[in-house]
Amino acid sequence: MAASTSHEPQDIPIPSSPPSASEKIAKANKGSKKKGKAKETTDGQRKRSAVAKPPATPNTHPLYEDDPLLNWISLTDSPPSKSPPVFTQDGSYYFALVGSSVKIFATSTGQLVSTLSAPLSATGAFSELTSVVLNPQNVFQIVTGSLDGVIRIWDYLDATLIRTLDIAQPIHHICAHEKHQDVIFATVSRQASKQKSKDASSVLRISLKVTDASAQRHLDITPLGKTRFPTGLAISPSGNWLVATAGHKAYVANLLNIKFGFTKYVSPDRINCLSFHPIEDYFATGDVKGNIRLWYCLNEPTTVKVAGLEKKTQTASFHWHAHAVSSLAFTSNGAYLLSGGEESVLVIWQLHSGRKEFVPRLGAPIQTISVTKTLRGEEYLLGLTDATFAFVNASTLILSRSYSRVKLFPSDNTLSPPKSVPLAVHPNSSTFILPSSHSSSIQMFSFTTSKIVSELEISPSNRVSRREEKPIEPPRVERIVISPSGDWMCSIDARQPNEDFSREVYMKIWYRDRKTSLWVLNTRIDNPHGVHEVLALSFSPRPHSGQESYLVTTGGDGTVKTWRLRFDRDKGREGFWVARSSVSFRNEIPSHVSWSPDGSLLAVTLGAYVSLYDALTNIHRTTFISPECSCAYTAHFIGQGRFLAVQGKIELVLWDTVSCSVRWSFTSPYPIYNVVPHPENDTFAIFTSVAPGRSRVHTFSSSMSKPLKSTYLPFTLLNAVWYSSKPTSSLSLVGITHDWRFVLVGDEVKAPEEEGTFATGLQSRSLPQRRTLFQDIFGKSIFHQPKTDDSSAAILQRTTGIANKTVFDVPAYLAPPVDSLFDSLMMGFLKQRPAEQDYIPTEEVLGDEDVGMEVDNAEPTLPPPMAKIEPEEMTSLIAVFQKYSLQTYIPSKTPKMNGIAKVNGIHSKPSPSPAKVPQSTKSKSSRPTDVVSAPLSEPTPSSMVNGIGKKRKNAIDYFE
Amino acid sequence: MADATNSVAVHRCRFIDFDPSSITSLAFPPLPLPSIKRQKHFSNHLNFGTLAVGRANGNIDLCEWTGLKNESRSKQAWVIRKTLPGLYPSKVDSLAYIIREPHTIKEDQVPSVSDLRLFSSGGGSELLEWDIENSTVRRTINSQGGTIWCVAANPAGTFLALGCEDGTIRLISVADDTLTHSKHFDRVKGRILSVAWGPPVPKKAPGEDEEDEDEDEWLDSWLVTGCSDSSLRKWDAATGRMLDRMGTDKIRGERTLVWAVAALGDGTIVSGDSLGMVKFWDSRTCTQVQSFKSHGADVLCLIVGPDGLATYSSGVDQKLVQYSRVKTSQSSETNSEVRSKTRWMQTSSRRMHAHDVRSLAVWPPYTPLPPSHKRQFPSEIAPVIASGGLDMSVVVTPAALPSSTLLSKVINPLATSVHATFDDSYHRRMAYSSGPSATSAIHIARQARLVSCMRDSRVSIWRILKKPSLLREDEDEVLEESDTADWEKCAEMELDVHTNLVASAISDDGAWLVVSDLYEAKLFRLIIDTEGRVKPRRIRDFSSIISPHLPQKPTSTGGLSFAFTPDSTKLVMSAALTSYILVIDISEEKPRVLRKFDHHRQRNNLSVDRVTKDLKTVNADVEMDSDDDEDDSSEEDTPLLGSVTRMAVSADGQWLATSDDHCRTHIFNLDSIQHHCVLPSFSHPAQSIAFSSSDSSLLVLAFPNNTFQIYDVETRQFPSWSRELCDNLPTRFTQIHDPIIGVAFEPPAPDAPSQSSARFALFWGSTWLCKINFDDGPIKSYGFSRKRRRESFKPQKNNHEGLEEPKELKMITQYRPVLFVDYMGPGELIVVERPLVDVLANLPPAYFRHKYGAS
Repeated sequence: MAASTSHEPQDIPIPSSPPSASEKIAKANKGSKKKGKAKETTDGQRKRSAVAKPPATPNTHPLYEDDPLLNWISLTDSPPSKSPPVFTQDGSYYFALVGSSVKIFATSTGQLVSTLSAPLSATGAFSELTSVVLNPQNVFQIVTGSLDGVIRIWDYLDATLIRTLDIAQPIHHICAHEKHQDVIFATVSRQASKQKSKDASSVLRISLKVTDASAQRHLDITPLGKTRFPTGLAISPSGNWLVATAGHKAYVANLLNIKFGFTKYVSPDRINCLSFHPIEDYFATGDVKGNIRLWYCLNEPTTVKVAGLEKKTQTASFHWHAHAVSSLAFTSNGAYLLSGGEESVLVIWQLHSGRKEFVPRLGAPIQTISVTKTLRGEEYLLGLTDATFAFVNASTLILSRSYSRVKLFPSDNTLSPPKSVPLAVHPNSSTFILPSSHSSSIQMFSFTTSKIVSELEISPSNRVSRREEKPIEPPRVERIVISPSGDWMCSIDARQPNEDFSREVYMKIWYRDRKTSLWVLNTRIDNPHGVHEVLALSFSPRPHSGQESYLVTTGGDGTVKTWRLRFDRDKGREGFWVARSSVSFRNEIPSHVSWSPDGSLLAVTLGAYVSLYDALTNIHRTTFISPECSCAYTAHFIGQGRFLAVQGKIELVLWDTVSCSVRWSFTSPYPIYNVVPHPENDTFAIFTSVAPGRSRVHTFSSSMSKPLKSTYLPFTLLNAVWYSSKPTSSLSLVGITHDWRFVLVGDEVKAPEEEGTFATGLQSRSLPQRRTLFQDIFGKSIFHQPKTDDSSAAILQRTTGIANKTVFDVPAYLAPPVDSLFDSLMMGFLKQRPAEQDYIPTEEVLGDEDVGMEVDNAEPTLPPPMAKIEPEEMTSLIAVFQKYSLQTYIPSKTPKMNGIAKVNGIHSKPSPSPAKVPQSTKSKSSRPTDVVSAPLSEPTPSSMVNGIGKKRKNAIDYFE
Repeated sequence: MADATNSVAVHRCRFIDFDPSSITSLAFPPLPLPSIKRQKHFSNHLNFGTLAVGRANGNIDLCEWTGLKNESRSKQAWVIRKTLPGLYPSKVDSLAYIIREPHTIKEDQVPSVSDLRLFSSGGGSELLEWDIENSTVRRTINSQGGTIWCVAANPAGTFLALGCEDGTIRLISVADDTLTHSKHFDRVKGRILSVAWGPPVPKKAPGEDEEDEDEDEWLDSWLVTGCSDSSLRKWDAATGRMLDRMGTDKIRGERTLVWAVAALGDGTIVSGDSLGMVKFWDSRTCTQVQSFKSHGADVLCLIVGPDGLATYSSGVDQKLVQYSRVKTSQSSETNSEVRSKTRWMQTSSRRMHAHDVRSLAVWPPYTPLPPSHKRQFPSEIAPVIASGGLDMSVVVTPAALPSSTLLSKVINPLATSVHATFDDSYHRRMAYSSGPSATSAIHIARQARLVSCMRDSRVSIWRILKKPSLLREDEDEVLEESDTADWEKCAEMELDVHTNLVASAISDDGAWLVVSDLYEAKLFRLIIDTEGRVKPRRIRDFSSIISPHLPQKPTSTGGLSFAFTPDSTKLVMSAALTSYILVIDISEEKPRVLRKFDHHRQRNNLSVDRVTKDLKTVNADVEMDSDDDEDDSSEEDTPLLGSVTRMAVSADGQWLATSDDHCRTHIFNLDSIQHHCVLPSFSHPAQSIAFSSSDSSLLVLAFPNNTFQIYDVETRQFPSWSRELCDNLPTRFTQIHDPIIGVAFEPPAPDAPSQSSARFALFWGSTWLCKINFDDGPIKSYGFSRKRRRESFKPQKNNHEGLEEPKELKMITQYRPVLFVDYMGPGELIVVERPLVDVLANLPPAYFRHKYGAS
């Protein structure tokens, strides 16, 4: 139990769940160790208004408060937030809200860089963050709002929480504008009227100004007006207008005249999302019917308030979406509007003409859209409902990159919950096979790299969005098993019957290509058990290493079928799977099947009986039936196969297969839903569901009917399989929880090491540089730059790099002349040479014969002490490349036809033009002092540099 | 017997191939220009102008608003009051209204028909001015430049600009009731397809205390034309020189036709072209400001909303697209850049027509006035857009801007829906009538079982065969249909006419048929041969017989309406241009004019459009409102001609009722051939008049605002029971959108005692039939849902003898559009339908046709 403190669930984002008394107690038991941990992440000024919340709902179940918590960690994140990711000002990072934490990703690589986790609230519950904005006063800070009503201000460079403001009302959206200093606007649910109408909310103006130390007590909050449940909140780019959308209305407030309150404009349909035009005073909304509306109501004359009058305004509408528009964004120049929704298609509307372009087949419904301008140009970041972030290049409209984590979110919640969830472990590659975001595909998740290795569509299905209200059930992958050899995978996918068509069941057996590590379909068996379901599926253990396992299936038609691999003599090695035998027993439905560890016996659970068959001969050996267990669900061999654990609804009976007698039985007060035997020793664990979302785990040994250990888990598992990375005698398994988390459960589980899951400062990371041509040729290590220890220097160094690059952000005609830039630019990249050597890249290099000479020159002058590239080397290399690239023209210089040769002749002459590069290098290097003395950031004021100064000042403000 | 009256056999006739004529032009009257000096004041209420509908057969329908003067909404909206019959063959391509004497009209007064001059052009080089009073062409003028493609009047109403085939604009001076050529502009290559006048500029007054010379207050600044060579041109109105040229988009060098232009008060020019583009131009720089590819095919028409904040375009793809002017940033910051801060947005579009839209009109009309003199309209009444095209019906839709909803609740004048904005409101299709002036082109001969139908120049006669047995059912109000081919065509006559036919009638015994255009009536004797074929024989000397009885000056023997007496011995006609009522005896070998009445020419019994002289004979409580302070000139000697388009003869042949468009109704006794009495006039001219068949002295006058009056001719009064009935008409009846077209009475069965059957009348409109019983007293309406009726039902004290519970009003809406309903005989009803699908089937295929299930 001591190990459990090392990975506390609080480090892992968990969706908010009702805090229970036992959790609190469990926490109290654990002592101060993790408290220190919590402090570590949340130091800064943590002043929490001690609002004593009433204790959680009274529990009707006895919750075994003495039970310790079984250690577990979740490998999946919370479902993606509906709020769009926010980019830093230079666009190199973006902040995405995941559960109760802000994840910071690098734009160029999609790598998780840092995670800012909100600390537990006073009640110990995690609270979901709902919105994030950059602090307009200090671009190195972000402001987040959460459902428990806390506004937090973070410094993301230092990864510290600077301030918290508790307004004690669930915050849904926040927005800020630089024109409104120290003020943010937020939509909050009104708690007072919670029982009356759930969707009553209001818009608040919250001052962030710190008046004095005791200001936390009474926050400066100005209510602006009441709305329905808000779906969006935005401030116009001019800072004059605040618009909130809720229900069928758009609420517009003039921020210059707050007293006047909201003017409400009616939309014909419920508004789903909101976006402001970046330049002009109008905004766009998307509604549930798929209409996009542009509202031009801001500059209308302020009107008298007439009660009961439905106000309308000039709107222009675009309609393409068949379903609700989930997100809207304008491009930064305001010429295009992006929209996305359930159709998984990004639509790009040209606003002045209404023409549209599409980026289709994004794989999952679009949930958020954000636009950034980076060095690569403009990019659109799409957040999909399966937690994938996809970048679309604005100029090419091609999906450039997409980064996904474990996607374990049912893409449409409208479907009925599945009966069984596929889950398997592939031991050879230590990957888990999990259901994917679409029910007809699976994904392979590598534990070691904690990345998605591949995704496999088991059953091709139509992913075009629904047309009617009632969606068609897609085929669902129900079961996955992996053969003990690791070469074969068997999947069952089925489509549930409805009034139009009968059930379709397919058994597919896949072969793993060892070279590519991909699964290739080998055999497809349609309806292996007729129109009935396949109830159980299992590979036999391998008796000999060369021999392939049998596959056994049981079906709703009452038969138990075995399948074997057959090799066709003509085709040599390639084999396929055929039916081997079929048995049935007394019209009972075989619900479960399990193999003895040596593969000789097959235990089939048939109603109240458990029958043992000889696996080779299909001879029925014996039948177990006991009064303790009136209805058996599963039967598992325990340990080396001597014992058989038969699970009923609440009963557990352990049979001795040798003596054919009941060894002991156990009755649980709660329904047992799973039994997981230890593969090595004779212990096994049973899972009982105490309450919805809470289970109790008992670990048994074959020797006694009293549980060795009783623990609890704050969830129930839809499916669980044994997994441990190293041999262990204790419980260790992976499972999928009822709320679609992929968890690792066990006494000794350890999360995979992954970068960026903790709060780390961004200074320590240098920006991922784009690989240059030279890096590609010579490897990256050659260009290794010595790191300076001083962190502030690191910042400076980095920012100069950025400053240089921002020179090229401006259009060419606005940029200063190139020759004035060249020096400073090159000096930013190159290191000053220690001694002024008279190395001159010779101008006579230009001839045909100089190729070798350059190399000769370069090498002796600079014997690299530590594989470093020097500027001279660069220049010579440039010359070499220029020369070679020129030489490609040379063959065409001496053509037989004279007339054309004249044209080319201009290029082929040893003209002075190629010599310009070395010349200029030389002339520049002759007076290096000028270059260095010129402050780099002055011609192009860098926002980062300025921002740092500001940030410093503000930070001081906060800390004083 | 009561059962028999409750059940009728219905001949549902769909074989009558009457084709209404498609709409080519729509026009609302303009408003007079505001005074420059006078303080702007805007009225709370604006009356609705008379809509002129030009049709492809040359007829022009004048549609009047049915609402009362101070009502801002009317369910029935506009109904056809008068039709100006076009020459045969001809068509109307463009219409222009101007105000006859603009200085006599107050700034916020809506000119009535008598204050207006109407011009039309129709595919030729002639410009026609119409005499609205007499329904004739008053003057014509040749354009001297070939075909007139477009006509536009300047805002002051003093000039007409004609865009001609030869590429010139010709200005016709129309000031002071003239029609003369004034000047022509420089000639350009190609045609002038569309023309619009820019905003007038106020003339600089030299002295402050100058007398108001209203005509000279405003000066025309410029014109803009859309040409056939992919360009627009701007012209100086004073010099006739071209100021600038604006080029539109072209495809592969083909010429783009600029079908429509409009100019706004702030100088913005709007153009619509054959590529489906609507472009906005700045008139100062003549550069394109914005462009919308809003239509899939040619844009044929454009209008500007009354306040200049919205523009509407429509055309071949049937969409009506709205563009709104929006402000996109704070205008208060820099006033110099106000223009660039507003722009046009395509805000919504609707498809309300089944075929090409040819013309748009909006009420209140837009006048391009400089922003300093911008006209203000009451914002709580939504403007109405009328649109028409090849699908033959005028569609009206309220078109309030969403911004007007900010101030107050907006009234939908058409009462089609609660919403009045263009986005959300419902439109309404106005029914087409079969004959001119909303009369019926279809007549039946009951005894001979013949149905005649009049077209532009043709008359067809069908015979309805006798049904083998009349089914009778006990169930209340069940109408059995017989769709079997129990009809045959008897005759098809092509007539040589000057104008389109205006009236026809067939005698009850099927022996006589009379048809007339505006200038000549033709009487035919129908001889039925052995095969049942009808052979018409023309009575050649009919014109020469009646012409001595008519004045020589407007030479016309044509009739506006005809009626045969039930015994087919007399023909009554109302002379077309002279409004005499002639009673002609046709029982003898040669027709003989028995009597000529001039009561519809008399002015003396008319005071301010209303009959007042004979009021002493009727009850005094018929309220006469004489709030109109317009002082008519006291020219007692000139006759006031009313177009007598409605006539009815009682079933016993004793009474003749005639009604004209001045709301005058006279009763004549045909036995004595004497004038009997005159009825007080009502606010609307009667849409249909009919004598009851069971009680010959009862005259029913049905009005287009879905009310009716019952007059007892014998006693010369409105019976008290009828007043109670007519004053308490159920709202369901009066609020129905389609106006009453006709009234039909069931003829009494020959063997039945005359008074035994219940007295009822069958009223019908283009989409409904409704039977109203005269004996039951006031009809109670309890709304549409039965559930509500039960809740609110209370045993009411019926002051009318306290009979049984009143019957609920029942409307039959399964026939549409109904062209004609009448009783063929006792228990036998004929309903003539002309489904729109059949009419549209004759047209070329439309650009867009909705496919079922395709989104």
